[in-house]
Amino acid sequence: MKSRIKNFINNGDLRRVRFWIQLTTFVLFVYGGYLAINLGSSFPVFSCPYNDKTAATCYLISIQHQLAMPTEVLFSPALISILIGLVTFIAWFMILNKAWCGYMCPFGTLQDWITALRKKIGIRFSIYTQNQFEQLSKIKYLFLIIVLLFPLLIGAGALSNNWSASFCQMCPARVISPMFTGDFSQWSIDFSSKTNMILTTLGISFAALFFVGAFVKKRFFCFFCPMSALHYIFADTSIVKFRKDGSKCTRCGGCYAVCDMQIKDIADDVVSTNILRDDCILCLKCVAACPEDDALHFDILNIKAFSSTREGFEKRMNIGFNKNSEANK
Amino acid sequence: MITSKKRNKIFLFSLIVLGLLFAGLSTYKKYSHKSYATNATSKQAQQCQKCEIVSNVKKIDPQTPIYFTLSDPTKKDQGRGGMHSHGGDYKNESYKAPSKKAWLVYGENNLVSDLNLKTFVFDTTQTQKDVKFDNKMGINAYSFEVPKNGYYNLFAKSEIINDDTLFYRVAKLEYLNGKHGSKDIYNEEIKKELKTDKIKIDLVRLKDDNEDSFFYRISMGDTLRFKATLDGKPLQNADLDIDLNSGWSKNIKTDANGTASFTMIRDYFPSWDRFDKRYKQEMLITLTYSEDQNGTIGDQKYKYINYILTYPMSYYPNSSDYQSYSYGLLVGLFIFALSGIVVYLYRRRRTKPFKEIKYEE
Repeated sequence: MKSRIKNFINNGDLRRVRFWIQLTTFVLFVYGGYLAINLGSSFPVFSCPYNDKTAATCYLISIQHQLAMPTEVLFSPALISILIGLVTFIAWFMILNKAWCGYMCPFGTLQDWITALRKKIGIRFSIYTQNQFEQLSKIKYLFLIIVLLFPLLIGAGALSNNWSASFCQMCPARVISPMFTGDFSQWSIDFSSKTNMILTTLGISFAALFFVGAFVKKRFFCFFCPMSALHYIFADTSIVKFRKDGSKCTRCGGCYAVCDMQIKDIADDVVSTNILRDDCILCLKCVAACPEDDALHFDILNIKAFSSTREGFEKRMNIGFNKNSEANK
Repeated sequence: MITSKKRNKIFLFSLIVLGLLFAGLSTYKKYSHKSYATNATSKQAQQCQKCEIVSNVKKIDPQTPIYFTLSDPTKKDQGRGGMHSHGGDYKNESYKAPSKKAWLVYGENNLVSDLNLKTFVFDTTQTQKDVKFDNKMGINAYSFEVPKNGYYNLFAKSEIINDDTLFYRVAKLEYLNGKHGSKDIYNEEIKKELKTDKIKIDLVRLKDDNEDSFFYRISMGDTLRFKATLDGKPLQNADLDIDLNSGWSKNIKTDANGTASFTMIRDYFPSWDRFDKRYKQEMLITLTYSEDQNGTIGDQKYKYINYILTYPMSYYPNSSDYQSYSYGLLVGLFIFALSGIVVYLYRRRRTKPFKEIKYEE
């Protein structure tokens, strides 16, 4: 029985499963407010509260508001509220690790749908060179610094309130997310100060770039996402692990070829057992594309929940070497 | 590519840098945790020495309206024109959450310090709750708990008979509590009119459809509608005086339905570099009405009743004064078109045209 369930999962059609999960979570996080669903303000995905119908609030906006408290308040018992927010964020994050990006994030899902549209039209996708990849990958840490440091500077009085939630002012999700509930009010430039004017102009520019970028590059924005960087800081706390058995890897490169995030280590690194990288979105397409038994596996509480298998690979690729195909010949 | 080992090092390093930076900034601001409380107390004591305290409400002219303010009147630098959003003194508020403080004043922010006033508050479910009275260093303050997001209605009532006339004074404050992270949902039910028999005269602000959030702010240019009632019935021909802190004032009368409306003027014209979209200004609405009616309170008789109700409000610059959709759309379209063309040209340049190679044998 146990092995039957295991085979069922390992041989399953990941693409279809992922599509339905993404569709469900997109509807939940974008329209959940209509059903009075509220999952709190420490959510580890871009469920943007500028869309007032969202079912949860992205943790980045909460932490920016919380850290911007005046310095003297920050050192008071009010600090407990920040710690509660952080613990709640980690608790949510622990459940899925970076699979929050690959399966739950409505903004990630939107990019996948734009990719699907491009594919349907028949336009080829773009890739970065390794050097471009290395450089661009660092931008998300710059954004994370803006998320964490700028509010502290506001609280200390070194920056004005116009810098409040500065990342959100620049974030394309702020501009795009409310559009799904018919609210286009974020497509405006705030001229109340030079700071706001620059930040909101950047926000609109990034939103426009998002559509073009996501159309030609898979998961375009995820390279720059500070939430992804924040996830990676707490990746070791998660009950979910992504592991590789290098001894079983033939370095065929199939995993790298399907990786939306162009993570080279997934194919090249045969030493590390923990193969989760900061850009990884745990979509598990690499596991599905690996033809070696147990070379890559997605573990929950150290139990292999989804592993690469030759049988599963053949089924998914429809290359006809499995038993059924043999019998059909 | 960042591996987990490298990540841990970066994380640790960042924490140290952040810690040092934060400590540096705090030192720069001459801040220390130990001395903060001492400083706060001594500041308050100093302020109290300067503050003007009125010993008893009965000494105030009975016709003088009393009203609530959410800004500490002893802090002269803030007064009625404080710039904090949602009407609170952020620093004071943070320590006592979840409760809200209000001060009862008359004239130009003169404190009323009388215990004979009847005070009560209605919470978001329109249930009557207690108001806490606090007298520290001679400064009277009223506080009420705000556990949920929504509208709270605070009342103070005073009945004084003077020369056959009952002066029935009510100070009303409608406070919209909006805190991030709350699970409360704003709906039409929240906006329903408060009906109470605790006060004879009342003034209710009628909310329009645009008011749809716990963070709603009244802006310049908004049309405000009010409904006046006496003993629960619409009050016709009552005077409504609108006084803006900036100096503008207007008088209107209620119609047969007890309603009256007016449009907020724009009275904030700073230069661009001084413009503050969170700039909060205050206004006071005073409802007055007189009627001939005989009655007694205790052993005192009266022939006339003079009703005075105050309703303070705060307002902000209108978003249309500083937000532009046309420029937003223009920038968006420009970047969209530009990046699209760049990607197209880049790809086209890299596409090598098909060339037939002929080998001569």
